[in-house]
Amino acid sequence: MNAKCFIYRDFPIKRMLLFLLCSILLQSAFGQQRLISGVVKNEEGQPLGGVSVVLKNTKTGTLTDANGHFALQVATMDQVLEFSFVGYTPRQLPAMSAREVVLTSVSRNMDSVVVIGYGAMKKTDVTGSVVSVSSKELLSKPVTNALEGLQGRVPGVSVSLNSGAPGGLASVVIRGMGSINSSTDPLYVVDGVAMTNIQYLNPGDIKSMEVLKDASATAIYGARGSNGVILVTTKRGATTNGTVVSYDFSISAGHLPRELPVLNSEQFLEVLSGGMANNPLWGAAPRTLKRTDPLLFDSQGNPLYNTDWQREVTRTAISNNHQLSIQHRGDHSSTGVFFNYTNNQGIMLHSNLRRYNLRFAHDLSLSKWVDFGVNLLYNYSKEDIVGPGTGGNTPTRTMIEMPSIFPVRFPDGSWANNQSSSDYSFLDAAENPVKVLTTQTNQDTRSQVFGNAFFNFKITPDLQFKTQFGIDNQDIRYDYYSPSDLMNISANQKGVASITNEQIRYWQQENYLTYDKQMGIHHLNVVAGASWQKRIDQTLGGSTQNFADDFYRQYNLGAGSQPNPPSSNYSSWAINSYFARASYNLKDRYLVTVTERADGSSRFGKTNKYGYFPSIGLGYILSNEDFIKKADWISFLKIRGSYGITGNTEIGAYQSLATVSSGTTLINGTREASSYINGLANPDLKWEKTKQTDIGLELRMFDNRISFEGDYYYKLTSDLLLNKPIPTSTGFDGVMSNIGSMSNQGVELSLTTQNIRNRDLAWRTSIVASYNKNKVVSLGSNNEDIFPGPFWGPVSDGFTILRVGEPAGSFWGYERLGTYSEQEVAEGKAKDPNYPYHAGEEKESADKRILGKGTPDWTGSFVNNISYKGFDLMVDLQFSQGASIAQAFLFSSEDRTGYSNSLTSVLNAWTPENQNTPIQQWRFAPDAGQSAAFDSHWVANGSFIRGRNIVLGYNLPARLLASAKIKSLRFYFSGQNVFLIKSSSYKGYDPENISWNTPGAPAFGQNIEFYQYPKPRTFTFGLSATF
Amino acid sequence: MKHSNILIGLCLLSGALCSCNKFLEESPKSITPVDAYFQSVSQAESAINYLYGKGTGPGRFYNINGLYDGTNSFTLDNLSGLANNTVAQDPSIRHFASLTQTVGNASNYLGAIWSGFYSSIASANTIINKVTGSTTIAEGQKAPLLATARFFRAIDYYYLVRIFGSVPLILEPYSSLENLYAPRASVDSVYAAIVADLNWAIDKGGLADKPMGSNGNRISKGSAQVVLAEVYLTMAGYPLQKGAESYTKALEVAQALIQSTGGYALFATDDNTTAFDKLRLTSYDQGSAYLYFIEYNGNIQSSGFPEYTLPNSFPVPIPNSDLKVQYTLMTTPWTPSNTLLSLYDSTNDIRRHNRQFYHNSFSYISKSGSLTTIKIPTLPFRWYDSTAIFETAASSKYIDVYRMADVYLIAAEAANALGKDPTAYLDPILSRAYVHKPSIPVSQKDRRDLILAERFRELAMEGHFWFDLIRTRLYPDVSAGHTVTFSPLVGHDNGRGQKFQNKDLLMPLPSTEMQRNPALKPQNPGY
Repeated sequence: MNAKCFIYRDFPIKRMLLFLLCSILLQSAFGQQRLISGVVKNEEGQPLGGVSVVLKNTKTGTLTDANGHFALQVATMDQVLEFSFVGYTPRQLPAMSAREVVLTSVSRNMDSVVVIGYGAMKKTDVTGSVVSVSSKELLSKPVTNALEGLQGRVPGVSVSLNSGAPGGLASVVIRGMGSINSSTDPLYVVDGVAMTNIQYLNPGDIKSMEVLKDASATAIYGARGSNGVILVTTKRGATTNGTVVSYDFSISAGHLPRELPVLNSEQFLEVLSGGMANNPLWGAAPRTLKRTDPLLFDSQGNPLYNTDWQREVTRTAISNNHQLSIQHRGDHSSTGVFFNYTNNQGIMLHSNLRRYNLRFAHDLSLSKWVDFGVNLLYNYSKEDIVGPGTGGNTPTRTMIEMPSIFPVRFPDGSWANNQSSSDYSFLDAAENPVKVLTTQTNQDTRSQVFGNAFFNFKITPDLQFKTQFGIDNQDIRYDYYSPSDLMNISANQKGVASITNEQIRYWQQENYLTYDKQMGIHHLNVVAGASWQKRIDQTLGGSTQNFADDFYRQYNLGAGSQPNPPSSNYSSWAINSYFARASYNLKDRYLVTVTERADGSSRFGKTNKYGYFPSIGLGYILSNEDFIKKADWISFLKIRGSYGITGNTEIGAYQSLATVSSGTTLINGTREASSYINGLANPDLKWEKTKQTDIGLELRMFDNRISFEGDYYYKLTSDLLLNKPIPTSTGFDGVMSNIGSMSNQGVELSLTTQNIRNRDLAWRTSIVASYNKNKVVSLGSNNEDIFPGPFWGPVSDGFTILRVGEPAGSFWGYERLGTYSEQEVAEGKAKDPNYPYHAGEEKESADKRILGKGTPDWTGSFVNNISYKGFDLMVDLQFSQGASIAQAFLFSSEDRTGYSNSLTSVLNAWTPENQNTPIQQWRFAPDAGQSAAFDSHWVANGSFIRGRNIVLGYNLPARLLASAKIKSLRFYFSGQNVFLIKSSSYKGYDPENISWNTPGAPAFGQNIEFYQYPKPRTFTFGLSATF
Repeated sequence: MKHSNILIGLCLLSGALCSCNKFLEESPKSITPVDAYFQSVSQAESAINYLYGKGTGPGRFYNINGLYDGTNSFTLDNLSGLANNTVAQDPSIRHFASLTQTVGNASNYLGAIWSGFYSSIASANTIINKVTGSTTIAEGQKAPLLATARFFRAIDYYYLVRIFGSVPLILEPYSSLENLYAPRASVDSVYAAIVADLNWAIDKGGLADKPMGSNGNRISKGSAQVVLAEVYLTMAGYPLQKGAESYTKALEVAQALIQSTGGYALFATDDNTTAFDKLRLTSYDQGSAYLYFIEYNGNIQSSGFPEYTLPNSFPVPIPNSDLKVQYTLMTTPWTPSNTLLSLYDSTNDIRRHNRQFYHNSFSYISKSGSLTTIKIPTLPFRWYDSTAIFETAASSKYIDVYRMADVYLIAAEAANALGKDPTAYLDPILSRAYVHKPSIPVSQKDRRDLILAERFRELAMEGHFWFDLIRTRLYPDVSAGHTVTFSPLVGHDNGRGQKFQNKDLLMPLPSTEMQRNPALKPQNPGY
């Protein structure tokens, strides 16, 4: 694939160099002309070296130097100069206005070469929907995760950064959820090798990311293409002979942008005693609040402490990042070595991600017709995790719910928790979050060896054969230790330690032929090949409890006197595929691409091992037609359409088999082996099938000042891999089957305008917007509702529903009609002696309803880039509209008075004087219980606008740097997550969030929140230098 | 050089191609394929062991679902109005308590009960089918395996038929996707299957004839007998109303157990230890009185029930003392209702004495040497485990489901219904429970009222309330002097201001199950 890139790129350069060298020699023989000089820069104001500058209709010309400077003899000042450079749009300017020339990168303008599956193609020739994101765009803000950089760059690609934690969750969904039970993640292919856990890849290593969206583009990945494909091309050796060294550094400071409003000590005590006073209304014995414990109160009964737990748990997080790359090119080989160190501190105490990446890429021309290449990367990361919560007393929860009457530490230095005073033992025992974060170990250590090696044989000038072997080996170790004094976490167990090792071994072998030939007006490109992939995943874990002291932590499991049984697991899958693609281009106007892939997967039933995935794409470049060429305001116009079938195989291994689960059962004081059959076999099980239609338009106008790309798509996913509900009277809940269908249709728009394109000043605006509408079309054999979860105590039938005609994962619960008024209850009791409701209690609809959905309708970004001389400014706004948020945390922060602290919204609770409020009457839950069900009061409007990224940069002038042998030097200052405009109905930190990312319900956990790791607001200072 | 490169490439290509036949076959290593199952006695035994676990069948019904929600059996006690759970978090539990349960708000809770028993039934069906047909398991080894599977299948159906009424009767294992949609079988036929399974287990099962605790904590002949006796008693009442025929059988089976030489016996009161202390003390968990229990072990799988014996207001570090509650959460999902407490004569009934079945204070010697008492609301003392509460936070207390007192009360009720004198069966219960043994009334109805009242008093906290209410369709009323009479359940107040209706006699079938299996229609009346 890389070899192909060189062919496209090297040809014009070499020819031109030769050309220009000759013309310069010729030129020097004459004279008597005026010398003009100028500088060529890119849109960001960085000087461009090696740009060819030629006098129009002559062979006279020159190249710019490393600082972008050129000087050329011209006869008159109105002679036209032609500027051209690989990767940039050529420009023509009269000599008089060529003092400072700005070239725009073609990745903006679609003349570039894009990587597609098993090859590369001119963007203009592609019939599918493919969007390329350059390294520069990915790194336009400091990111530790490539997916973060992708956010908002590609229409139709929704990247949800669901946690503010370092190494936090990013969920990527392309063109809507296309699956219920299997993964909705796209397939990631890094330099031709499939990669899982892409978030650990160093974003600085990435040269470009190509997102393949429609069937014409993804069908070459067949049974793994349904969710879209993201191709990552990493940086390699230098492109021109010599050595380039570059170094990037950044340091950033992040902080909690805002605190949730919680009750202070006085308010907390007031609400508590108010709740106790209401005890008799619920038939509970009256109780009065004690304010006498000298540990917490002064002699007048005033609280001694008013702790701001959110402030105690968070910090200003200082992170830094170093990236060093050395790229070299000789006559027959090129080499790149890339090193990255990043230390990313989280704003919650102790959370941290440290990552080291080392990568080596080497390309070698063994002979005129054999190329060899190798790419090997090693990642090592250590992550101290603070996960989001799903119900336990995790620090993300206790930083909100810990009453402020307790200090972090008492004056004697001992830690407090909410059971420190016997008078308050009714509180739902929660350990001090500062203590938990400071004393617990919860760590992932990952090492990954990933890479590939290939030979490329140029059999004839038109025919090549490539054979490639790739590996992805990951070793992940999860360490956990919770000390013996963490109440309600590990105190009863006297310390809990566990270590789990996961070993992933993946290999793939691919061979393919590429035939590429231009015959007059015909251009034909054919690829055909075969692929084998296998993955083996093994785990080994041990855990123990009851430690005599906390010295050993997880480092000596033998020291725990009460070990749990060891665990291990093995699973593997394999895929064998054959693929072919033919692209034909007639007269640079008419384009056809036909693709077919046959995929065999071990994960499917005996009778359905192989699936076939065809697609066709058509394109018509109207702007190359004479009748359009006349309209010179149209720079480029293409319409394209595609139709095809792709698949999704991402289910767990062995799902088509009936297997026996085994474990142990306690019998007569010992663990005895026990086992049961865990399902019914389905020998017919096969891949999910997505039929996708795409229509696209690409238009550039007014000398490329306005570029527009729009797509409409309709995806129908059928044969959904579904745990088909069967009567549980069979003893089983369901059988993995292909049943049901779901549609996604949407519109994707991207518009870039160059509002100002002056010598000193450039202003570019781009808008990326996507709309998606998801609908469940059919389910099961009787269109049964399915409750995919997540499941959680007070919402034990799940937050979400799959119902025919509704979007997948719609929220499901009661409608909150308000609170019962005194009058209503009196009338109710008069009519029906069985009337069970109390005044001030939540009033809900009789039946559950659909209350919203966790995925938005419209998402997108609005980015402005302004450069003035050496300065550049980027303002990147993110928007999302139409999603709802299930605020599960209101269960305990509004309805659980007496167990924990509450949000200040409880100050608007029902009272006889304030009966028109959705907030229930204060109630002392430990005695009187609580009424809490998932209802519409918990569902908030999730639309938002975020000031995602603002960057101000300055490039030092090249002439200042020349003496220091520095090619370029840039400083920048940036702010991320600068502001957030959200609905007032949403009470949490950030409307882009998830608490449930557990296997089983990952896709439907979006926007369901039981407290989150807050997203920081971050300010960064950085510099980039090339030598 | 050039050609050898091509050769290398082609070899790679062809080499990979050759391996593709086996390449896509799945061979699990950490889970067993079904074809390899039931090849040995030990595999069959491991399948049997699963039935004893907490994940299925009665083990699941009596397992704590969540600290505040308690067990499924708590929820039925709560429904009866004789125990309260005000701290429940699952909204369905609140609806059961106010008799506002509907298909919509209760389906999920009931669906878990439904599938919990059916998963146990499916395992039992597989065992019965595979063991019966096995050629690798010796005939002599088959009977106890089959008897255990039949015992669990019977008890699973017994819960289902009482909670839901007519339910699908599935007695063969599923191995393919054929015939998944079983219709509801008549209540009669479900009971017939239960009786057949239990009789098989008793007569042909080769089960040991001794208390469960003496039988390695595995079910014994006595376990099957007590369930069968109670099944007959239930068949005599609602909804089947088989009357005398069934009372006779209930009495026969109960008598057989009482007269057995297998070592089954009520706990007796010794000098310092009452019979009811023994029901609480873990050292007696494997004692003679227990016929069927769910086992716990502090080191392997501890019981959380001691957390329900003290209120949330109880001081964690006890003032002026070295005692400290080790559990971090104490809460009260099972509190006796005033109706239940009033059934007992608090002075004469030993079970109601402080620190027998219930307690309302905690006393300790403070550091200064004085006896100090902390008053608490009346809570169950049956599950109190001081070692767990003050030292380990991990209790080994077993949860008993059936014990000898049931057998005596079944015999007494059946004998009385048949017009016979129940004294021989009632007397052992009364004489150990009262300071001054009350006299047994003369009239058959008064005797019935006493026997039924004794069931509520003696078997509280064991999950019997609701089933006794719907079997007899009678609700206890207490007059002064703790004389208990009974009036019809339907129309009776649940103690919280709501009246039981006909619909409450059966729970609705879970809506998800109805959707999945259209053959289940119609829904139970009133839902």
